[in-house]
Order: sequence, then structure tokens, then C-alpha cells
Amino acid sequence: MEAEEGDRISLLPDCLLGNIVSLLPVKNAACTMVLSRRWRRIWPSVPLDLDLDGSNRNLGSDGHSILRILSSHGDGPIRRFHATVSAHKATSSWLQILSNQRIDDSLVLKFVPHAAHPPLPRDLLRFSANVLRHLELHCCCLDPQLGVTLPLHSLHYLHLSNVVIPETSLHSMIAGCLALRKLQLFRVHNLRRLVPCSRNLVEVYIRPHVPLEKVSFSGTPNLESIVLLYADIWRLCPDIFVKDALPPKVRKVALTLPMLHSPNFVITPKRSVSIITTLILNMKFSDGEELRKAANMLSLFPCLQVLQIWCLAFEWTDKHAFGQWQPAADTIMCLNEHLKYVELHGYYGTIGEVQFASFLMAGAKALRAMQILHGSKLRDERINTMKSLILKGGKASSEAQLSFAWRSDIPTVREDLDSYLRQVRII
Amino acid sequence: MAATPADASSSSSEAVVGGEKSNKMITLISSDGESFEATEEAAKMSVTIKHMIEDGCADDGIPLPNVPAKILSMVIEYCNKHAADADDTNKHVADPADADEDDDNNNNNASAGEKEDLKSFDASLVAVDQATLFDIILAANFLSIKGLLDLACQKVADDIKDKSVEEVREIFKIENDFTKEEEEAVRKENAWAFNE
Repeated sequence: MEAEEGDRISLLPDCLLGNIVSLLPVKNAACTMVLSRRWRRIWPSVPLDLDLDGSNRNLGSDGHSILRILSSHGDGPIRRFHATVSAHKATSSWLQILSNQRIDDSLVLKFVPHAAHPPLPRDLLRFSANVLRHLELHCCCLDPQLGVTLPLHSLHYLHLSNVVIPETSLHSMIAGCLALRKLQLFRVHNLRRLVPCSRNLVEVYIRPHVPLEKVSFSGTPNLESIVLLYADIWRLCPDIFVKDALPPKVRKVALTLPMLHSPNFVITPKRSVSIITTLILNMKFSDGEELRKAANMLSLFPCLQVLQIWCLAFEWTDKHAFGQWQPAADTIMCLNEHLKYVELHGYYGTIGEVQFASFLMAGAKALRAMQILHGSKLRDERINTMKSLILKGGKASSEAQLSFAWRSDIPTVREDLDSYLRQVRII
Repeated sequence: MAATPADASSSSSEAVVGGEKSNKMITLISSDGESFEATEEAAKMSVTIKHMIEDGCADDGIPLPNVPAKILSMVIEYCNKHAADADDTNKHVADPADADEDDDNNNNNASAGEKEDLKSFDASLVAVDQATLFDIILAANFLSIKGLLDLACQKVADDIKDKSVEEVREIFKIENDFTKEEEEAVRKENAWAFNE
């Protein structure tokens, strides 16, 4: 074989071969081990980047698959390990292997919600504690010492969803995450008191599992954004979630509510809550009664600046279902003064959606932009027709812009959200 | 600073952002003695060259004994094309924690047209024979130009991706020095990878 036509690729040093292999999907990358003796060493030397939820979905995420992949990769570090684990066979085996590795960047373990919550080993992050940047855990039991005896110094992002962890351990873990910027606590079991202590924390998301008894952000001086999901804000305010006690940089306090029209939203609240700046509603736009409730809801948040609505209408409705639902003009304080941005996600174009959008456009005096995000590509004429329908009642704010945009992920999100919301109540 | 006149060796016009960039020309000398000129801004896309400039070693031209002329001219072409874009990109290197959410795809100053333009430039730059491609990889590594290194390595990865082991050995002329037993053992230990 001529030198010019020979094995040029082997002239590259190991680190560059490693670069190339790391750009391959995991299965192909592992296959390079059989090319030659030298190549046998390359893949195991490259930090493992395994995303079984995304790019490597085809590999399967049952325990045996995970075990085989980790065994093949050997002792080297892991850059990313993301898996939604469908079954629990072999779980403790591969968790044990993971505990022996250093995970440099991110670990995402989502166990299925309906099975028993597997316990994570105490020393799962023994070698990763100093370097791990991103940790997300679902539906498992956390050892009280995890992240406590070995604090997670480099962690920027922590997400715990439907996990079992003692309240004190959770707080110790958070306090040890010196670099933490974003914290998401979704249905952490029996968490009643949340008093995080975290200097650099910027964003916090909370979805309660049981009614919260104490919430304080005195230990998070740099906090800018608080998002409450499906929380009973009327119970929390004014005494548990105290407006005047918020850290000085907080500019966004958001609340997500379940579908107004569902039996899960039992209470018809009456009191107004001035702490909320962003409201996220889920609406079916099925009849005038629902629109009336939505308008009434707006009147309870006088300081609202941003309104996002997930439009979960899947069928065309009869206009006779609507009638006259609009409240008298100028009775909704946030429309008069503060509401600046409206987003309608998953817009379908039904009568109810047009009427509500039109109502907002005609009443929001401080409105800067209404953005309508739809899940199917629409022709320009269709968009123009919808625009003129929405603008038919006029614009209370002369500078308000109305825009339409397509997002490809909307159809899936809408369906998932619709079925998910069936079981959601405010707590 | 007065702008220097457009240089003959630059293959594309650059949008100089910010107005404070010096348009000083840097001379780069290939392994076979040929001289090339590049703007300082483009040259600094190479971290190696950037350090040499900052250490004051660039005044008489920078010799690059590892990089032949043919490859150096391609590297400079890449740097010229991407130097203008780099400024915008650096502004949007957000905290990695922010990338954890599903990002709205609304953080790029370059217009869709400019991005398409860059993409097709990149694609044609690496659509070369193997030998040239590996030389680009070695040069990009030596000069520490991350974007070019990733681009060229991705091209090789794409060539490997959906091919069988035998095909990959054939394309890259890799000699199989395993014994039959050794190869079987590797395949067996990692059966999950070799099964369809």
C-alpha cells in the first residue's frame, strides 16, 4: 500500500481520535473499539456522553441495557448521563457502577412514577461532588447524606421531582451547593417548610406536594424569579408567602393554575393577590362561563404584567356557547395599568380563543405585545384573517403589537399537558 | 485607528463590530516558507496565535512549521469568514445553567441568511480528500481553533457514522491487528453495540 494512500487517520494522536469518536452516536462510537488494537482504547478514554432520552434513545433504557453500556465503557469519566428508566431490574447494579465513576457535567435520572421509588446509594456522587454541574432526579428516594457529607460545590442546576428526602437534608444539600443558580422542587414529598439558604440562587420553581406552612427567601439575597406551580396562592398570601419579605432583586413572581373549568379547581377565590407578576393559565375555551372565570381571575391579580395562556382547545365550538361573558369595561385593574405581555401557546383559532384575545387587546391599556404561538404552519392569508378578527374590538394600547409564530413542539406539548392536567389540583 | 485598505488575501468582507478592533495585518509563514496575511481579528481566532500576538512575538511574522501552505490558506479562509460571526457568538455564551431549560430559539444576531451562508461555506471547506481533511484537523488542533477542529472532526465522524466496521477499515485503510480470537472477544463483550 502506498504511503499516500495508507492509514492517514492513524497519524492523528489519540486525543484527536477521541474527539472524532466523541462526536459519534454511542453505538457507533463503541463499535470503533473493534477497528484495531489502538482503537480499542479510544472510546473508553473519552468521557461517556450518554443521553438515553435524546440522541441515544435507540439504545433502550431498561436496567440491563444501561448496565451493558456502562460496563463496556469501563472506568473512565462520564460527561453526561441522562436516562428515563423504565424498569427496575438491575437498577442497583448500574447505580453501583455509576457511583464508582466521576460524572463531570450532568446527571439526569428519571425513574417511572408508578413503581416504587428506588433508593439512590449514599455515595452515588462520591467522585462527582466537586465537578457535577447539573443534577435532575425523579421518583426516587434520596439518602439523607447525599450532597450533604460531600457538598456539590459546582452544581448550577438542581431539579428534584417527586422524590423522598428529609426536609433538613434537602436544606443542607441546597446550602452546600455554593454555585447554585436554578432550583426546581416539584412535589418533593412532605416538604412543608422551604427556607433555602443559597447566595447565588437566581431562580426557584416550586410545586407543592403538601400544603406549605412556611416559605422564606431571606437566605437567597440574589433571587430574581419565583415560579409557583399549582399552588394555592390564596392560602399562602399574605401570611406564609410575604410580599414585603421578598429579596430586593425579585422582579418576577409567577403562578401557574390548573384548568379553571375543571372539578380540580374547586375553590372560587375572591381575594386579590398583588404579589403575582406573571400568570400562567390553562384553558379549553369551551364556553362563555370559562371565559368569564378567566376574566374574573385576571381581576384578582392587580399587578399582573405578563399573562401566558396554554390553549387546550381541540375541537371547534358553537358560538352560541359563548353569549355575553365580558365584564364591564375598566373593571380589571391589571388591564388598566400593568399588563404588558400576553402569550397564547397552542392557539387553535376557535371562537373562544378569538373572543378572549380580542377582549384582552381591547382592554389592556399598557399592552406592548401579544404573541400567538401555534403548532401547525399557517398560510399568510389565514394569519391575516385571524389578526383582523382579534383586532376587531380595537386596541386599547396604540403601541401593542400582535404577532404569530409557529413552534414545532407545540402539538406534543399540548397533548401531554391536556392529559397531565386532568389530575392536577392546587395545593 | 485608521482602517487599513482591504487586503487581497481576504476572501470575504468582514463586518467589524464595535469599531475598536485593530485592523492590523499579521503575517503567517507556512512550513514551506510561503507568507500569508490576515487581519489580527481573524488571526486571533487561533488561541495559539492570539497568545503569541499578546506576548509580542508576532512582529516579524509568525512561523508555523507544522502547517503547509495549502492548509494554511484554507485555515485563514475559515478565520476570515468566522471572525465577524465570532463576536456575536461570544455575546451569547450564556451561563450553561440557562441552557437547561428549553430555550426559545431567539438568541442569535446573525440573520437566517447569514447563517445559511456560513453553513454552506463550512460544508464546502471540509468537502476535501481524506489527507487534506486530516491535515486540517492537525492544523486546527495545533493552532487551537475550536470551531474549525469541531467542524473537521464532525466531518470525519459523519463519514464513519452509519458504516459497518469493515467499511470504515476500508475507507480509512485501518489495519486490523487483532487476532481472530481477540476480535471475537471484543465483539462479544460489547454485543449491545454490534447488534442491529
